[in-house]
Amino acid sequence: MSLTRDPISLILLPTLECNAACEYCFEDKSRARLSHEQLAVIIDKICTYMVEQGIVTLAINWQGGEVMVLPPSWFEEAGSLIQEIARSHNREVEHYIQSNLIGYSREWLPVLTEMFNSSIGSSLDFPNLYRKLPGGGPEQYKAIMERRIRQVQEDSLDLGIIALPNEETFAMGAARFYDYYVKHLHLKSFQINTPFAGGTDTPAKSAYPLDNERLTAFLLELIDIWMAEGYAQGVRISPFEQLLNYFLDREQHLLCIWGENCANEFFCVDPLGNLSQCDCWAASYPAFHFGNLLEPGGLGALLTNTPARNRFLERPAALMAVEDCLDCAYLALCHGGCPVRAYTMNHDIRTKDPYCPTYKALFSRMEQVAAHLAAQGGCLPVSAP
Amino acid sequence: MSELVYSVPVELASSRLGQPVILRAADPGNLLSLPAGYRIEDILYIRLYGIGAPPLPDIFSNSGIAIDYVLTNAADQSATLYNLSRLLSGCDLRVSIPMQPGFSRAVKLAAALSFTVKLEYSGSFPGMSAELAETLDIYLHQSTVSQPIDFFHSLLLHFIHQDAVTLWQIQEEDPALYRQINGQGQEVMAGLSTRRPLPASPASFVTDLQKELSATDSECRDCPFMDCCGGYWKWPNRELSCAEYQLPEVFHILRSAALELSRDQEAFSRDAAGRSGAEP
Repeated sequence: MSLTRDPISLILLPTLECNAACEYCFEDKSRARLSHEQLAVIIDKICTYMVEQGIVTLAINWQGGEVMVLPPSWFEEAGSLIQEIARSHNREVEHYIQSNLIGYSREWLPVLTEMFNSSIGSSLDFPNLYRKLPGGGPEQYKAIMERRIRQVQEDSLDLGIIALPNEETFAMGAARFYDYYVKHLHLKSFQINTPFAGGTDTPAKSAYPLDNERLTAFLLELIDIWMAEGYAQGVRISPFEQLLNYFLDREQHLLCIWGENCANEFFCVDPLGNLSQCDCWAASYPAFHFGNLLEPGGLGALLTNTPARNRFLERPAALMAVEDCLDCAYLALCHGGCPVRAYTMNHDIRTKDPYCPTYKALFSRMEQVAAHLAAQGGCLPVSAP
Repeated sequence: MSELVYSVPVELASSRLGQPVILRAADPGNLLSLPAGYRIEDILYIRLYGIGAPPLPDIFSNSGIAIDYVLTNAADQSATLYNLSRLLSGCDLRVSIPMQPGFSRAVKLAAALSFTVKLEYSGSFPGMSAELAETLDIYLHQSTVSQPIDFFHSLLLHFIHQDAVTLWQIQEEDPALYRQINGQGQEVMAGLSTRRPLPASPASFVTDLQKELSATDSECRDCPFMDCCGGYWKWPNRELSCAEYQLPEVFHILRSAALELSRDQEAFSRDAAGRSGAEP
């Protein structure tokens, strides 16, 4: 079964090398790097597939490892190369980048402006317990990141931050969490992800998945704060914003963990050319690779004829048979949640996401908030219903 | 629509050349056997049977033609609905689900996948009223349902707009408007009861049935929904008790929902007019 959506989304890992040593990282790192020659082969095969399927646009999400261990010149050359190949196939390409920003300097401005539309994503937790430089500690990392964030903002780049909550986040509370990102870091948008114990076991990962009751209480409190203080002021918190738009019947793009099947939405290529579902699978679960784009054969064959990919394609239907998803009022949103979160908890992809109770509570709350907003006839700030 | 529409198996499509048709095929590949000169514009939609069929030939998937995918076994096939949107990517898609045991779960999944749904009736079964009630509740109240579930949706619209429509028309089974050519080339009633021969007076069948039931069946005689129901549930089984299967309740609930929607709309218009100073 092919990927037929337009745009087609590619998570591209040009390197698995990283300049950080985060304790909870789900990737097993290496020094592998993609050459431009290899990049050309990969992009050409993808564009050929796009022509076969009638897909016009390729959205490339550049991630690592850490992408900024490669110099800006690497990306400048990569961008030109990709543009040339895409043009030869009469296709279009969009670029997005996710970086830890440790290597950021103004040297990156031209390529970020030209290739990435002056936009960049990064990550920082509150409190930061697990993000570190090699040999360093969390406080040092936090200090460096805060300097980088200020620098990026001074350079007028559009910055999105992903935060992973932890047990100390719950202890500190949603108000301090919110104030840190909005008032201290002056961020207008950030995203909260749910952590999972992917890759090699570490003490940090022993806490995952997080306790659903505590996570739910934290998130619901955060929603209240956001609606009271930030929503009308233009502060955007993902996934709350997307869920609100969903229930208000507005255009939205739900997180990749929710939806019919992520296998129909995107795929990942690592620096060795291995194809997998996403970066969560690429570096740590070789048994889930679909194949290799640097070997003979096209993308279409790897997307349609591999047992590994079929497991992802078959997952939602399998969940309907073994889990209680069909009884859930929010099946249309969730479809069993994220396969990697399910796998790292249960060692079986045909189980539902362990954060199911949290998601249900979130969906229910945002549905109520949306109904309240709609009844008020607009986007006024409201207290919790 | 007043022109008679025939549902024909693709193998016999040549018998209706130049007429509006609903094409039936168990294998989409058979669609390539359509005779030369067959106009895509004459095809109202294509009715496919059985999940797991290969993708639609390009000429049809690229034409914008609507597809009606029929689950032949609601309980067993529902989980494979996940394959459907990829098999038929880019097509306008409806899933027809037979009202058999387990159909409510198939409807839930189809609705969760944002498919338009059509419930198809071929006879009552124990538990039907509970599944119908559950499905109706999902249609009316589950906020994640974004596409119509018929016959509920069309009945709701009937109650809102007070137009002259019967369940026979909604279900595309009124022989005055819809007929089926079976595999032997015979003209029969449309819908799941396709083994039923065409009545003697197909053009007045529904009216005749209403008259007959009003005269002989006390349930129908006293039913406030006879006009829009048209005796649909009591054909061919005159012995069916609508009360036993709580069928009037379905109409009551939809009519109440229509009233509520209409009142909400009127209130909104009054408020909007009040804010603007204009007449509502």
